[in-house]
Amino acid sequence: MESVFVLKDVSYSYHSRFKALERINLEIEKSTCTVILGANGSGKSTLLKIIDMLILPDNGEFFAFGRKIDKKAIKDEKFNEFFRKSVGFVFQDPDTQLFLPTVRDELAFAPVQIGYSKDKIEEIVIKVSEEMGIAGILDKFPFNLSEGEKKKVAIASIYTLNPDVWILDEPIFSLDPKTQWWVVDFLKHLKEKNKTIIIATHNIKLAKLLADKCVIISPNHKIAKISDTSILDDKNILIENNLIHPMGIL
Amino acid sequence: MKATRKTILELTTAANRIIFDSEFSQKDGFLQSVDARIKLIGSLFLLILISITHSQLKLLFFCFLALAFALFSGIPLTFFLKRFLFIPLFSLIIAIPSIFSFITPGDEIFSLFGLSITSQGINTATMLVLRVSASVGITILLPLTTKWTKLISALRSFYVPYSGILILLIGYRYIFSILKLIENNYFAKVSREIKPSVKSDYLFLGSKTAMFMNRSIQTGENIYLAFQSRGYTEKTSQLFNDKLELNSFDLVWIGILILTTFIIWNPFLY
Repeated sequence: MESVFVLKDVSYSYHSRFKALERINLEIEKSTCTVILGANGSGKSTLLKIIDMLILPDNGEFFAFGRKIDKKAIKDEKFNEFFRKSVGFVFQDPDTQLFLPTVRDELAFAPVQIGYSKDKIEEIVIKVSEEMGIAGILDKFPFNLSEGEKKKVAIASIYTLNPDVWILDEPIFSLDPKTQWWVVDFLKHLKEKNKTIIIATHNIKLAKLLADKCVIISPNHKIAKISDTSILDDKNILIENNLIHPMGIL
Repeated sequence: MKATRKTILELTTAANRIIFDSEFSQKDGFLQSVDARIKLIGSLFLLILISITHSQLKLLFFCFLALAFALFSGIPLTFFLKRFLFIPLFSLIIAIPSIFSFITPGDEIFSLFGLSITSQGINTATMLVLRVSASVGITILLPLTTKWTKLISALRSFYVPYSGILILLIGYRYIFSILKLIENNYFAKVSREIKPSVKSDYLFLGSKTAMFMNRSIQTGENIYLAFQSRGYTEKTSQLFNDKLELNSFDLVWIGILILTTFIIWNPFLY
């Protein structure tokens, strides 16, 4: 199967002191859903930032779409444009992602970057907002929305770009049950469209619902195991990596 | 303690009021339909006209012009008047001493508690209040009827540096999040406080200033990454580069400006 991203012996530390990732070897295949599981502080979000070409590893090599990612690749305008059109990142905190005055502006952001005409942009905004059930809040200020609505807007703002690769950091964290299932259904819809999906979470149930491949990151920032969903029934490895507690999940 | 609570609550209330006010910029009104760049230039032009006008009647005309603009832009009159009259009220207080002969000597009209009130004094005070009123009326219409992004895109067309515009945009967006965080933090402190004191309030403010500074730096870094992730670069961004295409509302606005200039310079109109 064709690989979209390849990480070879990747390590990363914050301020050269606080270790976040150590010797990560990983391949992300096209049209699969990879779920990265790890406890708080294990380095999942850092890994996603490396995959989204937002930060460069301190050591090791990272390849995206067959090209080695280094400073030169980031500065390459053509490649950068191709990468940003192909990869969408939904951040854990929607407040980080949503910075424009209205929901309509947020949805129009990606089509404006691509350079579509005003009519085409409006058409995309209306279509996506109706599909995502947020047509009624298009003129609202994102700050005033509920957490569930913010998450929907954050996802919709990436959906207007319709990228082939979706990266999601804790997509159902702190959402009400209805919105959690809305997100799950949306991700299933993306899977049906053969999109490449990478999810970072510590939610085992979410992984069971969506994963084709599971990557467990240990609390000491190394890959503990890469496997199919059968690993999610291995209590020992899940307890060892602080993903479940012997007393169960609350 | 009351002062700290009041300050924090007033700040968050003010933030919410700004958000509420921004809803007017999305209405289908006259000024909302005028291009932000033309509106900004036009407003500056009107302010210059107001500052060089020496006729009370003409200044009164500008006040009515502001009211008419508000009315045709779907801004409720009571809402507009509250803002329109607030600052001029202070200028009235400042202007009161100038009506007396010891500040502005001239022809006495009548005497109040032994102090002479001169016609020149009343004229000076009226001019000041009318000038401030007209300026405030025109100025507050601009942010009320213009979307924040459109306003800053107008600034870009005046060659304001791109980085400065970006700072304005992000600052405006995240000031609300940070204020909400401060309010929640303060409530969390109050809910755990058994013996409240002024000293503990100052300690809270001192320690939280550093914490919020750190938090805003972290938020800033994450926002920058989110920007990058969504393909936002100075070169590719078209966000602030709308093409200028004059519509009928722009032409009406320009027409009003020309008419106003004619009224101001016409020696027969006083």
